Amino acid sequence: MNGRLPITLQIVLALLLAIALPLFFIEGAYGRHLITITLIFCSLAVSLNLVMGYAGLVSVAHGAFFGIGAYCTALLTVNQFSFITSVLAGIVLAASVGTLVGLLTLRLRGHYFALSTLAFTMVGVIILERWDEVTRGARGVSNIPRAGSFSIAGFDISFKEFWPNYLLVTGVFLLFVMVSNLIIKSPFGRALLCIQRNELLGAVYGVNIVKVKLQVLALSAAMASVSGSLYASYIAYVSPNDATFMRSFEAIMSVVIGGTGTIWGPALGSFFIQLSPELLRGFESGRLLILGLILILIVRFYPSGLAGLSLQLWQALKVALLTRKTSKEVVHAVKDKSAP
Amino acid sequence: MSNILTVSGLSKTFGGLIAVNDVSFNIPRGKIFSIIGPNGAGKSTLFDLLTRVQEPDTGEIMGDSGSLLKLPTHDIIRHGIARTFQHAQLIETASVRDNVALGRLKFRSNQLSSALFRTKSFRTAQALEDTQLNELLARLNLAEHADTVVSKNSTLLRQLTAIAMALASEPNLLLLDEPMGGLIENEVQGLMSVLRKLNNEGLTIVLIEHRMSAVMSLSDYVMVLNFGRRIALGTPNEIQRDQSVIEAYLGASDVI
Repeated sequence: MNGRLPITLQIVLALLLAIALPLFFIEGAYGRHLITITLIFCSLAVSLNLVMGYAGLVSVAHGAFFGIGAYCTALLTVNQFSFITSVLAGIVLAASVGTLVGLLTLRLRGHYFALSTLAFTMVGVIILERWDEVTRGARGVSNIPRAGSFSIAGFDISFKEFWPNYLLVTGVFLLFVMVSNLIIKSPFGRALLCIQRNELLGAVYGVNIVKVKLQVLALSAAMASVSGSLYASYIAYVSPNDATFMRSFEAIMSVVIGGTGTIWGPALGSFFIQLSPELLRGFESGRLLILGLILILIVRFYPSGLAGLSLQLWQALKVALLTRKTSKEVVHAVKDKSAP
Repeated sequence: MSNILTVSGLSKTFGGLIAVNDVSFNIPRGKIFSIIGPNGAGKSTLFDLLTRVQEPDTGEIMGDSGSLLKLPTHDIIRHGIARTFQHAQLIETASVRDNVALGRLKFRSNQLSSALFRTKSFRTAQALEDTQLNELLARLNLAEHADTVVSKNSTLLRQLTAIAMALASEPNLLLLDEPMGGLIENEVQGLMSVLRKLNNEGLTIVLIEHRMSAVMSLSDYVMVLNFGRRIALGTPNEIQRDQSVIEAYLGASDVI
């Protein structure tokens, strides 16, 4: 573990940071809106990282899984069902569809897997646009109620307010991080590694490749659906645009830029992607060009992404402060330590 | 003397190529059984058939608990058969320890639920696994390399890692595919003594190998394949005198 913090401590620190952001650093309704939305997309990226980062399956279907959650919550809650019912419905539906996608793509890897999940997402959008009676077609669903309210010890807590909703969104994101971490440090995580690196070796050593693939796709799809549910209830409006492959690509970019297969990378990447319109405001239509350039540079020179970069900087800082080495020696020591 | 594996009439063709042609043999329990033959003789394909990586066209493979042909690939390891691959197939980005730990997968529930809800039995199993892995790594002199990434390791270390992974599954039958390929002479000697020790402890070993001196000194039995056919089977002494073997494979005695 070369001196990294234990995961529970990392999660507590992340929680404190998440609470501190709107308290001290972010002002105004727009800033609060941005950070809420960003955290929702963080959980989507974490769910994608589970299949993309650990099992090596680049799924373009996660926009559709997100859409399943968003539409389940939208359509059920406008029809007076509770938020929680709609989330559970989304989980069940997304997990089933995830399993189905898994069954159809069992023998596919790499680009072929990505392309067939892309096709699946496009079919999903067509269904949303054409099945008018159920999905309300291209108009989308509006006036989706917020998650609701409950009372604890005499306090009425309503998710219509910023803080309860923000803490809910943060809680889901941190729960997903915890789930990912439990998974990779278990025999199931080893099985995922086999799927990514060497299916044959895995099979010979007892991994039921088919079962593990379907399970991880189902779990990841269910997680993506939960982020979709949070999104729908927060934004109060969903349309087929929320379930397109653009959403998938955004999530994929977040994972790649943040660091594929790292615990916090997908979240770092999501912040980068969601805040880039603000950071690059002066460039207008050149924004996508700059994002694309950054993506290429990271894939080429920094496959461990922002997470790997910050870890290296942190280690460099530690080495520099503790040992007073010259800059060259520091670079050397850090390179040795952070080898994959 | 009982057989740990009984193979009869096994055949496998790829398109027009007959890789394994009506091969029958028994592997006696507790012995070292070697398979030799020129490149392309069907040795590795035979391993693929025994471990259900490939489906045979005809033939039968009987283990202790009946026909292996009824089992899916991932159940073979649970019937006590572990194998290595030519050029040591490993998870290249992982450490020696994490690779060897793959061998313990069969003892662990790799259920998703047990990963998410760390029950007491999960934690006990994890602790047991850690001590057993440490013992095994120490036994094969891998302890000091346990945290190195395998892609950067020497051929010998990679072979030992692959063997340790197989041993971690506590097999009754160990199939080794050219474990001495690319090793220098004193490394071969070291590996031979490891294999001898394992065999003395009761492990049955099937060895595919091109180093004739090692094969002849280690093996109880040697089977020779040529173009997918079994052309000889016997003790090392018998094989070295067999005229058809000398013609097909051993040729000039300099390889012996």
